[in-house]
Amino acid sequence: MYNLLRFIKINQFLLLFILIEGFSVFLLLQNNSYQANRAIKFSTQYTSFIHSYTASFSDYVSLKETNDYLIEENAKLLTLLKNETSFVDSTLIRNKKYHYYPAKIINNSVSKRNNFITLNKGRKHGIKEGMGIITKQGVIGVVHSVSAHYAIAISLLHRKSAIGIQLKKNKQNGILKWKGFDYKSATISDFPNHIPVIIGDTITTNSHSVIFPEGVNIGIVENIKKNKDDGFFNVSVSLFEDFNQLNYVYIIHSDEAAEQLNLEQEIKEDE
Amino acid sequence: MNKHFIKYLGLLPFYVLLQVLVLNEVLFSAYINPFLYVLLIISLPLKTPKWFLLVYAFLLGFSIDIFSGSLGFHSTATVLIAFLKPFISKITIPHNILGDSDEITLKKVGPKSFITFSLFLILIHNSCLFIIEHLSFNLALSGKILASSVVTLIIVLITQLFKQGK
Repeated sequence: MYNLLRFIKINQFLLLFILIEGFSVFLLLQNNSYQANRAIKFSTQYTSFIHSYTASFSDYVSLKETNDYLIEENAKLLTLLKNETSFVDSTLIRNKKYHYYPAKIINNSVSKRNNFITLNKGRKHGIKEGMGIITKQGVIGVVHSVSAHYAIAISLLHRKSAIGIQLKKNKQNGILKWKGFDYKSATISDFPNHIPVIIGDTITTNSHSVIFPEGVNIGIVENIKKNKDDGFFNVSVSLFEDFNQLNYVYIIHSDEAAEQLNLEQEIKEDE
Repeated sequence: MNKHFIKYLGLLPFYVLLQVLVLNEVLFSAYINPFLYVLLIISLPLKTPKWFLLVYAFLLGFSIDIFSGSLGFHSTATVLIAFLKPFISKITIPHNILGDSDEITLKKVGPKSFITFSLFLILIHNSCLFIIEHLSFNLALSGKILASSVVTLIIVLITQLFKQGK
């Protein structure tokens, strides 16, 4: 017993280090679990409050850009109204089954491996987990957790984000992922090599998704590399949206999509 | 010593807010992300009780983590450098320069020792942080670690110049 106490006394620094570092690593490993989500949801209420203060300051600075953006979007919508045949081409109007909630980004990052976005709309505004987030220029992410007034979304710039995409010209499907570092481009790995794809092709969302409507523009093909091991293409896509300049977004939701999801879930349970 | 406890606990929220509201928002490049809060661990006096050093490092890292929305990353890296600090100070700082309760500053220990000492700590901190974030190691990641460390060091040195002016 005496020896044990002496051992603890001599090595107290090391033992305390192991204890605290162990706890940190435990937190690290817990990051995807239910408890961690609860903890983050709880702290979001307070951190978002501080972030929304600073966001309101940067609002003034970016008023000009926001105006330009709104004018551009208004012009686009006005031309759509006049020219009804182009309804077919519009993302915002063609998918009538989708509800659009406007939201403002109050915290965002692009330099980490796993980036999250904090939005100023929450449960009280009808936002739920799993809703999609888009702008007129592309897909932004998916809502991950919701508190009363705020929501946290997994950005497209996240290890776990995977978005079903298609080539606009021939409807060939693939999955878009982010490999880190450059927030202006993402990658489609394992793209079959028999599909004709050239630099400059437009990439949009595909019709399989229950989160995003079909045909939301995402980016253009920037570079095509053949994978030496399996012969598939690695296609890097230059994104239309500048994630570092994000300000206003639309949270979208579709009742019909929820119905589709339920139906597909039933099949999975039967198997 | 109590004076330092209070001073450093008071500086903690200031540096945390500076980090999350200013430095994390300013995007120098996708490869550069400076972490100025490491300065608090660098400048804590050498004779600080070791339990305080570790607990303080955890509190610091944990506060940054809460604002980043994912737990454990910054606290793991910061506690690690707090643990290694006494060993690194032994090999980089001549041991008769500092009094018992002197903070480690550029003025006190001289530019050569200060730069090697802080560069060691910053490099270890950034390597640890970025490697557990990316869970891989390649050329792009080592570039990110080096670039971020150098920029962090430059910002740390700038704060030291302000202190010297007084």
